[in-house]
Amino acid sequence: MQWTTQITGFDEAFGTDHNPRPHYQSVVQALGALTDEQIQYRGRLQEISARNQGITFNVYGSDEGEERVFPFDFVPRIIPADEWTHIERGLIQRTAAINLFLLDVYSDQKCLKDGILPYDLVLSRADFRRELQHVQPPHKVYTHVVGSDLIRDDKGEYLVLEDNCRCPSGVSYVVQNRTALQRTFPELFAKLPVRSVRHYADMLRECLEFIAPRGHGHGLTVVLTPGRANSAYFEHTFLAREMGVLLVEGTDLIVEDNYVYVRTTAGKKPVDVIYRRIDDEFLDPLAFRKDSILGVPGLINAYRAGNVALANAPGAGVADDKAIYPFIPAIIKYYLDETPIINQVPTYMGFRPDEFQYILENLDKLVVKETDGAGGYGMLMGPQSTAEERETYAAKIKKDPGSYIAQPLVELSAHPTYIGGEYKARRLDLRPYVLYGDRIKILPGGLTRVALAEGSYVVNSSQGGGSKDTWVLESPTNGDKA
Amino acid sequence: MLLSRVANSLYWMGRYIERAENANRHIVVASEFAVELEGIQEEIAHKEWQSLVASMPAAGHVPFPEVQSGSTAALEYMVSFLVDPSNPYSVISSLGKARENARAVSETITFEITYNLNESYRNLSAIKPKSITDPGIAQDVATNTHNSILTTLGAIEHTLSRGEGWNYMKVGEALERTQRTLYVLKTRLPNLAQWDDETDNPLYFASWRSLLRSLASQENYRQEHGPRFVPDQVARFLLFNPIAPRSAACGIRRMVGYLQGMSDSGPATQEARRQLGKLAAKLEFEQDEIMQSGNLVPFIDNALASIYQIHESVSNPMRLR
Repeated sequence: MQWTTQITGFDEAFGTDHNPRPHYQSVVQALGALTDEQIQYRGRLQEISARNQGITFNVYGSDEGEERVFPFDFVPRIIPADEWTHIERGLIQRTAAINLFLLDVYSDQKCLKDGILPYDLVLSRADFRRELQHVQPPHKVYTHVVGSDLIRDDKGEYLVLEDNCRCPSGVSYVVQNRTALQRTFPELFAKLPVRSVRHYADMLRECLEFIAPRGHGHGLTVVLTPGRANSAYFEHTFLAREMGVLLVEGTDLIVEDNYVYVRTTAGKKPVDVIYRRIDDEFLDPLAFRKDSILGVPGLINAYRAGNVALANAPGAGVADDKAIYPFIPAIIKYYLDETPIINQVPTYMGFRPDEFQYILENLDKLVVKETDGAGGYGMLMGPQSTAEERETYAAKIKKDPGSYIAQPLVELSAHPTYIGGEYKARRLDLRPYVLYGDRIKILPGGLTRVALAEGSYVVNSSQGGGSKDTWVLESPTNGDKA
Repeated sequence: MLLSRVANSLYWMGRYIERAENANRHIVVASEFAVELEGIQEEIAHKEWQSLVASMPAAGHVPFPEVQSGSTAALEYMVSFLVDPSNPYSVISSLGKARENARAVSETITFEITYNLNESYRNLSAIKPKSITDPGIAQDVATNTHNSILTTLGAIEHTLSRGEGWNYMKVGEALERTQRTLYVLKTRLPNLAQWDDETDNPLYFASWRSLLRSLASQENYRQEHGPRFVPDQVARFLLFNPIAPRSAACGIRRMVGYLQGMSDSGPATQEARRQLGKLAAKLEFEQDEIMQSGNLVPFIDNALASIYQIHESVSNPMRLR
């Protein structure tokens, strides 16, 4: 069996001598013992199982039919314990700082007064909700679930690429990928102490019950979904089922006298905690978008009155705006008086005239993104673009420079991925899931997304990305259980 | 605690799985009957197909073949009722709708149910109508699909908690089944009644056997009444037998039980209980009057009207709560 290693960037599994790194040796050996037929047979079983379990997602605007299986590559990504400790410490630090920033920006705005961030930049963000100024969430926590995207540069250093503080999705795949791999390739687990990820729903429920307005564990918790047409609907059902709570749609809830109720066959029942998987702007047509049919009229007033807890708290999205991202190291320093444990990618900001000029002059070297964009849409991959594409993009960003940022193209790390009967190096990222209830906890693992197309840097599921099982090893790791 | 929306989806899920199972069984039985008559009494075989369509009112608008050559007609009917999504009574239509409802409530049902229902649907939807080129292939597809549906029903039986959601799903199933039995009796009894008791005529046996098999009741009937098909006994069996799972009386009794397990005590459920009580009383205490009337159709029509009202009460008003 052929193994291709990464030439230009950091290879997760192989050293520069082209030999497997110590923590990959047993997996490379076990996979080497399998024939192509065995692998393909198991791959087919896995895909049939995924479809029958309904582990599918919907792609907006796709006419290839509604349901698609998120491609799963069975070669696991392995993270040694010491690397994970570093990631864990870095993300705890980052999440704590982001939460303090949100508390501040929705109360006294000291960070703006002290010039850490510009007033106009923060207050002009679409996700800054001035309606929620001076409204404090239960236990002062805004970001109950955070998914920060990490990449590794050509030296293997972990960098934060972006934070997701609204409704980060993908955690169901973390659990399902583990289940799938344990079923289809059990021998891979034989020699490595892999930490479990299957307790995520317990962690999440504990976190949600902590914020119940009537006290920890009191009252009814629900998951609020936009419905079956949403691309993450499987995940919403998965989480509700695993947590043992109700999955509701907007029309299942009503607000009376600033209390939220769910319509049941036995009449109305009060709701205390809502894990909402609907973006802020659709949450409540009386507070935000008036044309929203997904939300619940009056929900924000109930939240403001302290009668219902929302996770994540509305307004948290301002912290993961791409225009705020360059300031996170300063935010960490300002609130925690620490230097960032995990660095991030250098970023040029369109709203600063000199940096915008630099962006325009170096479009062929930069990745340009919309500040409120997501899913890999609306961006320019400068080094891979044509002159004509850059010209068109330049004309677009000149109309609204403040809505764009740019970063140098980071040579993402790569990992062996089974493609066409060979193990080929493909680029990937990592989204660990951070939960903030009584304290900040991190699931030992995360969603590894992989760009399946050769040469691609785009890992998004909607644009040809796949996923892998992510193993975090118990310490210390020389690769063996015994 | 059960959301009203979830209750509604479970109710329809129960109905559609039952409908898929019924349609599947009906076409297998009708096809075998048609093959038996091929070259002998093809007109009767054609009537069998027509009565199948008549017993499924919403399928009436689907264009069915005028050709009455046995195997061609059988193939067209089978393809339409198995894999044609434009036929609202086709197995694929019903499985698709059951699956949509299951998807809307997947956090409340078990993994086994979701898995088997998805598998049934996906396996059948992978079969292209053009690939069913003869009735033998159609029979094979129908048999596999039937087994798959029965597995799903087994998953429901063995894994789903007997909470309120169970009652909603099962009342849907019982209502669909009772309605089917009454429709089949209404459309087929008049034709069958024209036969004399020609015990030496194989067609006579084949016709009654086909009726009972299409309602999965042949073995149960024989255990109760032996090998002879007496029209009056068959009608009584399918209407009044309290333990035969496809009889109207059994269906109504089940529905009474499921309604008792619902927490909703609003006017809609009260109305459903009242209608069911009346129907159950008639089926238990007015058997002789009904049979002596000489024409069962008026009674069946009244029973179907009551069942429609029960459906309206159990399903639609829940949305308003």
